[in-house]
Amino acid sequence: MGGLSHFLESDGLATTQISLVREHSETMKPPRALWVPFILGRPLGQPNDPAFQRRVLRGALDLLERPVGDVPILVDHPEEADGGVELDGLACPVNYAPVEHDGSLANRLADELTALTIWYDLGLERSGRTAFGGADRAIEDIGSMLAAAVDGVLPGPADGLSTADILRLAAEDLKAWITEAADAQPGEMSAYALKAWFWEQTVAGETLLAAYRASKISENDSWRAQAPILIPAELR
Amino acid sequence: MVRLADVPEAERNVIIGLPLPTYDTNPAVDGPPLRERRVAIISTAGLHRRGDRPFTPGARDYRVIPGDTSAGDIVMSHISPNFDRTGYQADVNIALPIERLREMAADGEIGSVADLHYSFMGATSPEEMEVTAHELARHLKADGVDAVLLVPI
Repeated sequence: MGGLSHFLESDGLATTQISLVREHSETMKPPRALWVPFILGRPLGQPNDPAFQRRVLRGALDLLERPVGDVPILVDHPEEADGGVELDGLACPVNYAPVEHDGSLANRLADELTALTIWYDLGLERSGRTAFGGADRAIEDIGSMLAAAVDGVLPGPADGLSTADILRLAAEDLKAWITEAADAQPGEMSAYALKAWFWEQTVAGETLLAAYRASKISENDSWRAQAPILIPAELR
Repeated sequence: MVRLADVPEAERNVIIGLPLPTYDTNPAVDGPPLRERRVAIISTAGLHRRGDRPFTPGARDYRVIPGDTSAGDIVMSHISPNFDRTGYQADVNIALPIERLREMAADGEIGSVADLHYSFMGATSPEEMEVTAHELARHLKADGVDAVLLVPI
């Protein structure tokens, strides 16, 4: 962000920015920055809270009214967001009926996707949007592809995307689809609880972890190099 | 997924210690009061319209997001385990607050909202964005923009 502001200001465009990593702003000294005490990935702080988001925006945009002689300006936003608070003892409200089977990972993942489809569809119907779709494939195909990767069967390059690109996008789509389905169910979960649920309790999380472990012995250099970024550092 | 302060120390040190350029000058442009400014957003969340070419690692290019793109047509292909995506899944404004800007324009807090907004992928180093940033500056000026809000992920 600091680089972009430097280049744009050099070209005569005034900038202000939100900063999630205060140390970076201290080093790069962009002309105007509002540091926010939010979790990475939530620069506006709180989803579906327009008033909260507007306070953040106002804090960043108001810096444009300060005299240019004051730059670089780095201000701390005074308000915490709920999403960053760990909710001790929160009971995981996500609960879908487990399907009895002794099947393969691919079949168990397919069962999980089938069980959650009604929730994903409900969430989409309610919100009118989904973050799913980066891989431009159906969720069933994504499940099959990632389960196959666990067995070392990788998709070939397509549409200008490498095997690793396709698998990364598929993995992110799987996470988005599953967490959106969970989010549509009754109850509230913190971002932390949702993350823990995905990685510890879902077949989807189990599949991604298995695909990551399989990637370590893959002959595809790019997949071997990129697979770790799909997995939280503490689980690698 | 967590606040930087809560990231395990080794990971935190990697993020904090990322090699960043510093500059000998601090250019800063003045402008009219906020209530008269036309504001555009540049995100580094790797956002783009559904169907646009996804970002790939090291991408130094950008994508254009028209202000009238519906939230359901915006996807993210910046992939990293280090940041939370569930907030964005619940509300695109958490990363691309176009609706909030529109409300502020309607209430007279800012002048207007640009027709076009842009996204880079934040994992790209600042030096590699320089050429495209200068190109983008021309497009922003052509749109009448005189205030750019930079939003990280």
